[in-house]
Amino acid sequence: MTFTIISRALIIYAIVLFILRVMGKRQVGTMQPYELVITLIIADLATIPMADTALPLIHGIIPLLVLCCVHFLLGFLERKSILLRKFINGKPVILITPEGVDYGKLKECNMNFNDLQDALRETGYFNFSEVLYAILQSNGKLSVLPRSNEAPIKPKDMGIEAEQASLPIIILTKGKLIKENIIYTKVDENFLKKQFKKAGFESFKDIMVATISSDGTMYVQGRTGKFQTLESDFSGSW
Amino acid sequence: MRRGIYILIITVFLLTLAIFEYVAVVNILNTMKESVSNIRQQYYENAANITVLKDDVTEIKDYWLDRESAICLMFNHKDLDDISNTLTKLVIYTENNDYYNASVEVGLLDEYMKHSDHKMSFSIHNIL
Repeated sequence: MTFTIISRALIIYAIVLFILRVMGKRQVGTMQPYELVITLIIADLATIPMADTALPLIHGIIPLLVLCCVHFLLGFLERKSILLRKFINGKPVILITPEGVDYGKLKECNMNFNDLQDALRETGYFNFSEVLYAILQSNGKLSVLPRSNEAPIKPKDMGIEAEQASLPIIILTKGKLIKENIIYTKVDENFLKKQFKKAGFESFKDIMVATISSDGTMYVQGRTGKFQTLESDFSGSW
Repeated sequence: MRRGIYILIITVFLLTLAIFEYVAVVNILNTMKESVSNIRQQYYENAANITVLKDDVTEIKDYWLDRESAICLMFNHKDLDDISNTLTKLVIYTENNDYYNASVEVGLLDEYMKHSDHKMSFSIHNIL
């Protein structure tokens, strides 16, 4: 019986994993209502046939697969029709306008002033007066547009031409080069060896993690000691 | 595109299951239902000496056991066990010419079969 339950657990796990992969990569906080409902049901459905060996495994698998198809169908309909999108997902609600908090909308969303303040604080604003617009998205997240004099200063506001940020890519972990990323970054292995040698690392094995940015900046951390930032003449195209 | 293919595979899988259930499982249950109904009648007719039905009832039991593994894909295992146990008891009571207990078991079996048919069907009662 133990092996039966173990096998069932593994099969259900594989199926749920497959279904969640097919469903996409949205996280709980960014799920639309229908996605959250399906995820909750899936979690419950998966556990029933896992433990109850009297139930055929297929009785658990069929609803999971059906829900996966329903999810796909709803996603498709949501993309195709604005009307259905509003019906399935609901629509964003403006809770704070330039005139202040809209209490009617707040009540509609089953929220109170404390809830709104909590949500605002999570976005970094502690006072209603700092906010020009606060919009409760259909996935439950609050988006805030601050008043101009409360917004964080950007280099553009100061008339500064900032350098474009570059994305660091991991090229080596635990002494092993990540081939896929080496190909993507088009960085030469000999070039890396030279750079690492300059930083005091005799071989790749001495390095725990290394990243490279398109502007040639490298982050290198050995198996012991503090990390180092290396500047190089490498120029990437990503 | 890839997701579409997955959904297509899932749909084909579900349809195959539905067809399998309809063709194989329902077919087996119908055959069983018919056999049990016939044998029930024969028990009434041979009440004085039911041992003559031993081969017939063993045949039904063998038919069931041969197909049980296929049905267990779709059917609650506990229900299948109930039917197997009832068939086993029926064979033993028949061998011992115990008409009273045999008639109870064959009656139960008949009910199980009718009930399973009802369970498998697509109806508003089952949905609700």
